[in-house]
Amino acid sequence: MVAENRLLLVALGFIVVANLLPADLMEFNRPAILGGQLWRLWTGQFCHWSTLHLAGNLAAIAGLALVAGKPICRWLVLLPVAAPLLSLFLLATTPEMEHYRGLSGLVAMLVVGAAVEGGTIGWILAIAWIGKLTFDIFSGTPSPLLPDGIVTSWQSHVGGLLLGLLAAAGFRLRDTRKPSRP
Amino acid sequence: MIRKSVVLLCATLALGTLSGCATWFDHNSRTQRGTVVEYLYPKGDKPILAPTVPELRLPLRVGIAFVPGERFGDLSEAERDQLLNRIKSAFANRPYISAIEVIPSAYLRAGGGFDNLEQAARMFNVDVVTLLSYDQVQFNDSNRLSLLYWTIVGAYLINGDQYDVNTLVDASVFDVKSRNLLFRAPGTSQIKGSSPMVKFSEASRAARSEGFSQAIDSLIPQLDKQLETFKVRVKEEKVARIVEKPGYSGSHRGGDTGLAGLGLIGVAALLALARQRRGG
Repeated sequence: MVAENRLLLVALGFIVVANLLPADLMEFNRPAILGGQLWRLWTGQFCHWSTLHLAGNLAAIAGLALVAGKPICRWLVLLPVAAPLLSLFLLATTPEMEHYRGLSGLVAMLVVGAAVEGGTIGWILAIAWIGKLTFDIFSGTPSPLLPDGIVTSWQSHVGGLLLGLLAAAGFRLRDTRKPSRP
Repeated sequence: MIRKSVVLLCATLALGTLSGCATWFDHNSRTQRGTVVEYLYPKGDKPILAPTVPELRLPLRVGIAFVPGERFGDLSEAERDQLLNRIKSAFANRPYISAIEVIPSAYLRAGGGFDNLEQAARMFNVDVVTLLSYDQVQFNDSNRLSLLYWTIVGAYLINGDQYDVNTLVDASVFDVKSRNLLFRAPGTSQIKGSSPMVKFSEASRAARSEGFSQAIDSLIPQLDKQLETFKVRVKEEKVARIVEKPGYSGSHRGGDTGLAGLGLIGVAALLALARQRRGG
């Protein structure tokens, strides 16, 4: 429990640091990452284009925490581990994207968490979310929460969902292997 | 009587010579100026007023340069480069700007007109050029303390001379192809100071450099404001046509939940809260 709280603080620390330090140094920047600035693999997923952008994503996490309840904590502690994996996914799958900022890829991972932990409401939310994602992929709807010229990256949402499924499988495996108490 | 007259004459000459110390220094104002009009329309050329709507291909490649002026002795090329780089770094992270190139003064000719501007734009491969014109006036005066220059030592220790440096830097953003002025923004500064006579030249030169620096600091937020206004005018008044270069829309992206996503999560959260209340 203490370890989980510490890991939660690490995730929170990433959000605070990535949004307080200059965003130019924190963002996912393809040439810079390939040039060796590897911290961007982490911080790029936590920094944002604007305060409104940050507020939108934090509100989404708060909403998902309400749906999933306390078990969301074990998903939140995964964020610092999932962030570089998601960045590597984007590096590999979206070569045209040079600059990226935002937490919503990791929010997509937490949507899977809400489906696993949140019962029927969580499941319905996840299905509706996937429907919205499919619509976004084909329509490319611009978001009013992003500044002009910045396009929503649906690829990060797909990556987040895949990471969420991976995490769900991991938790399931761990739960089944746990020795049951007599 | 004659002796008295000689003494009076000597005293007058001595007074005149000593008080001259205070006026050896040049009290005239000093001006350095470089204007966009003189550069782009030399010899009184009239602007060609063709009603065209400029086409801006995003992301833009932007050039930035000081207008070549007839007198620009105080700032070295390195200092000018430093000032231009400050503007560059303030705007470099805009998603609709792919690169900002600093154009050194050597590439622009005084009175070169649009032909010279187009040459430089081709050389640096830029679509839009921001030209910084400047007008700096320095007024010099002596104050009452300058009387102490009579003591000679006073010329080294007493701040008897004062300067007042007024600087205006004006940024005009031109679309090179259509030769249209897109928008402009001013930056100003006023620096007042004083110094002993022997250090006046050095102190006032530093003030002139500082004047440019402060004017650039004041220009950056103004330019940002005008840029935002221009974006609104493009949307509402169609003052320019925006064309996206291939691949542009994909280069800058955001991980955003979106209003629809927030709506879904919000409804689910409310349902979860209601469920908890029923259960609790």
